Amino acid sequence: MNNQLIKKQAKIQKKHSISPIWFLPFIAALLGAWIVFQHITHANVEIQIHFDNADSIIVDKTKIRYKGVIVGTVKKIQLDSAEGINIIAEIESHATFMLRQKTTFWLVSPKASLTSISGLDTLFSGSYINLQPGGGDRATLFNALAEQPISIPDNALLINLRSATADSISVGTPLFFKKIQVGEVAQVRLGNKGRYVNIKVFIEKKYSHLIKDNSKFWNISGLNANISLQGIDFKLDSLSSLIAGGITFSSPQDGKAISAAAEFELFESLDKTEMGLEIELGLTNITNLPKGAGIIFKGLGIGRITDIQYSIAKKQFVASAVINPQFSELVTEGAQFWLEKTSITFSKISNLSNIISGDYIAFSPAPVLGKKKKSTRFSVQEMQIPAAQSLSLILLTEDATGLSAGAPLSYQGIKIGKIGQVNFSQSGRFVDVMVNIDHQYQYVINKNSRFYTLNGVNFSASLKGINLQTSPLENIVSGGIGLYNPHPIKKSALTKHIDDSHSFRLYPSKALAKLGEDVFSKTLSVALLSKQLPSLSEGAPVYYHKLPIGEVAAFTIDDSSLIRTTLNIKGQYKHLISNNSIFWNISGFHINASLSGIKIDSESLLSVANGGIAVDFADNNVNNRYKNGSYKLFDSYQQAVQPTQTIKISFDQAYDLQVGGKLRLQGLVIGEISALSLTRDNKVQAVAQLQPQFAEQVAREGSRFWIVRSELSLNGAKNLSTLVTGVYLDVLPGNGEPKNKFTGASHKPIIAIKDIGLSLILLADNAGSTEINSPVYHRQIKIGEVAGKQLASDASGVEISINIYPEYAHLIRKNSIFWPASGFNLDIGITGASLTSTSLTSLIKGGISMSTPDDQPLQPRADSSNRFTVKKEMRERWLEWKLAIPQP
Amino acid sequence: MNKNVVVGKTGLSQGLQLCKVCSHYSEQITDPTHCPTCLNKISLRKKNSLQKTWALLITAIIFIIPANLYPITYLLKNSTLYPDTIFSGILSLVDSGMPGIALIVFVASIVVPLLKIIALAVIAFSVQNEWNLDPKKQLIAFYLIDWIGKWSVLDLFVISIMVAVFDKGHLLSIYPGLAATSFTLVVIATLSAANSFDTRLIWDAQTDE
Repeated sequence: MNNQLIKKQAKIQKKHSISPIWFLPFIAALLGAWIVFQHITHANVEIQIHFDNADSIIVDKTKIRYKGVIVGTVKKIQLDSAEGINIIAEIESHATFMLRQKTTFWLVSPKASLTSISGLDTLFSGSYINLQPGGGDRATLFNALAEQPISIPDNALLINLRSATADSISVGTPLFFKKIQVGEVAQVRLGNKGRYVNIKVFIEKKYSHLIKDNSKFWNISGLNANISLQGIDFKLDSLSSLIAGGITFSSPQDGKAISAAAEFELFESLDKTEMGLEIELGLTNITNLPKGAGIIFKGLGIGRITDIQYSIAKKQFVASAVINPQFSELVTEGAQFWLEKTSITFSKISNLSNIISGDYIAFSPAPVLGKKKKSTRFSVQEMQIPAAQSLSLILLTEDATGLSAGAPLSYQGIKIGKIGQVNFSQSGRFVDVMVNIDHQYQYVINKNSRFYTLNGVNFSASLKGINLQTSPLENIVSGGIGLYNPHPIKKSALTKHIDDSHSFRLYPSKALAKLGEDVFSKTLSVALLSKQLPSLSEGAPVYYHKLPIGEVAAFTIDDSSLIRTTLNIKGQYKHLISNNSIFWNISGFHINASLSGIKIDSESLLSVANGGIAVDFADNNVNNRYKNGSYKLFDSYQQAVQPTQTIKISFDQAYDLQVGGKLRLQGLVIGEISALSLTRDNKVQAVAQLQPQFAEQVAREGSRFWIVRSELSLNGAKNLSTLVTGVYLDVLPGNGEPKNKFTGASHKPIIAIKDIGLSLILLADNAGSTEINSPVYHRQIKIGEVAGKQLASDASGVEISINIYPEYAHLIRKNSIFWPASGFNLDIGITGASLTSTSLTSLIKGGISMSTPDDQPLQPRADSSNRFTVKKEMRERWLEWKLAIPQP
Repeated sequence: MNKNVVVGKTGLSQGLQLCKVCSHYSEQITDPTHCPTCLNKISLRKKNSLQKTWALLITAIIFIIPANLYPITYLLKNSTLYPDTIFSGILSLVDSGMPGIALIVFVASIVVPLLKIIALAVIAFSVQNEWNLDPKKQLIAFYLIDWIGKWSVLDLFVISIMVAVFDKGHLLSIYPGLAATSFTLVVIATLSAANSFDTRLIWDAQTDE
């Protein structure tokens, strides 16, 4: 069995199969081969760079960079056999093409200066060696540069400046032109023989045209302090130049632009360039004027005084000054120089800095440049004299208080000039105030212009409060002059020639300037007549719209036994008095105290104290004069302008009617009762003053007057306000002929209601509890009221006239049913008693209800001709009617 | 077991087979594919064991070259890239006064992979060429390799942690280099090589003299 099995056993042949795992080393070998290939083809190149020292170079750490890209690493530092050290560095294969003979290397270390921080990244990453590729054949031996080569922007213009000293100029020092940086110092080197400092400056391409062959360069480095006994004079250019220094240059117009590199001299300062325009200034006084004082043009230093000497021949000081060539064109005939001193006045403190720095000389060019010839001799004025073109005017005033030279002249708040001088006039009668108007504002002056003094403080106190208006502080202190033009002047207006002989009057205030035209004319005497001596004193003012235009001169008794008040109106206001002028007394307070309040009218405080008279124009048809031609003096403006119309109303009973009671028309007060008297037939006659605008409407035939007084009844309270304010008269205007005698009623007339709404007549057996004013209800909403009731003509019933409010008039149809809503309905039966009542008001006042049946088609609207019968009793179903009545 | 097992002779020659799963040896029968005890697959020897071992070993040998010559990490510090090979890393550890750690890294990253490759290669050679080396010593060497081989991953573990932790952009970052990949492949290849080697071949190769 076993043998059999062995016999049958298959012959096991060892199979030499190749496992697929061999794929792995195959790929690995391929990869390896590729890596080796890469390694060989991209082999790093070892180069040797010679350095003077190996400061901050670390093997394996210090990188070689080109434009910031790491292209290599220092691998070894060797001492050179001769001097210095050699650095063996590996340049990565991709950068080896840059290794040419002229390729330069230098060490970049962090450098921080006041103006710039460069290589800041090296603070952290360490220094690195920079590579700057050059031409030539391939090379592996290099000499490092001691310092970074000049790096200038592409296309920049490189120029060489030669200076005696380096004088705070270093690489990076900016080059300014008119304070704008146009370039930078690229290199500072001692010249070959050590005599000069060679400064290489590059100018950005866009500015390179500024460099002319005759340009001059000078140093504006830092703070230029000129310390002398007179003080310290600081001259400071830009802050950057304070820190890093700076160079600036001139660019004369006539120079030719340079194209290639050129050499210029760098001067220590502008003065040293000897090209600033030298001028001579004559001075009478040099107190506090330091040597080297600046010449300032609108705040910009354009030059300085280089030397001051006393000239015995001219008996004055002669200062030599140099003007910055950029401004030399401004220094022409007509230009002005004047001394700016510290001035401390009440109005302003100016040039305070001069206390420390000394005074300076201010400059202003001739107003019109161009044709003027250049000049080099000037005399320094004490203060700025307006240019000849400024317009000088003489203003006449009697009182120059508060006006001082230099005070501003303003027009609508804009300063257009200033006071030149204040002097007595030739005649001695006036004070001449000379004002200088700035050139650009001369067009606002014409012959109609009026000038006035600007009052510092305008104080007006009234019962309303105190109003304090001040002009700018400057005017309060130094005064000022304002200009008023009656007609606005367009900017395009041509400057009109004003004759020198034309003199302007200086008005005391703007208000006067607006009004006054003829200040030289004499006062005007006006006589007023009044029945009583007005509560005025002599000298009391006369006002025109609160403007004092004159005063009360005297009181006399006129022939006509009236009191004559004589007014003197100032000449310049003469035109304010005309044939239709009205005068009224504004003396003191008008206190109108009543239960409705207290009303106090007062005029100005002066007039309260002094009394006063106001004047104004009135309409032509005002009765403002007595027959002899004298003006009337009215008690009030109201009286003057609008004389009230008097009407007389007689009443049976005066009730509480009092003098002063108001007359109202639909609530509006239209007049008041001025007198109450008893007539012969024992009637009360009230005299009412109607305000003129209502007189025409009210004082007519048909007008009805009645007394409105408070009513307290079960029905309610009415006109309760009259308890406090007193009874008043109400009026319903008529439309007949004008009339001024009326008979008044004690109640509101019914007719008043009938005018509006729908009037209907209801027929009833008896009046029941219906009264006048009883309501008419529809669905318990009041839609009207009873206007009156009377017996029918044949006494067979009662006619009740009702008035339906207009908004409900459409509810009344021809088949509407009316029934008394009054009182209550008491049903007493076996089951008990039932009480129905409409409303409490109707319980008290009675009333009428109405409804319209809904089982019939909608009937036409009722009109006043329709008569309705008031049903005796209400039926329940009437209440259930739900007829829809559309709004008309 | 009705057959006595003779110590010192291979089971194969004694007609025995071993189940690698349940460690139960049984008599070789005609169809030696399944263990009679646990019914798992049984092969008398691993198939192509030596071939696989060699293939993987060669792979490891190829990759161990770039793993040691190329930078294993790139340290980006202040925008500058500092490449570090395994060896330069060890040197800088020594420089910074940490010889202990340097030794550990040296052993784990250089000695162990190299020793593994060499030892495996020697064993494989001895099996192939029937050098008749002491089988017990070979076995001890093999188990040592097998045990220590896992520790080579330590290096990669450290690198992966550093890469993850030091990621501060331009200030401080670490990137794995080409060597890291190569080293990984070396470790995987040697582990697989050791795994695919059938230790019984050591005895099979013993020629009785």
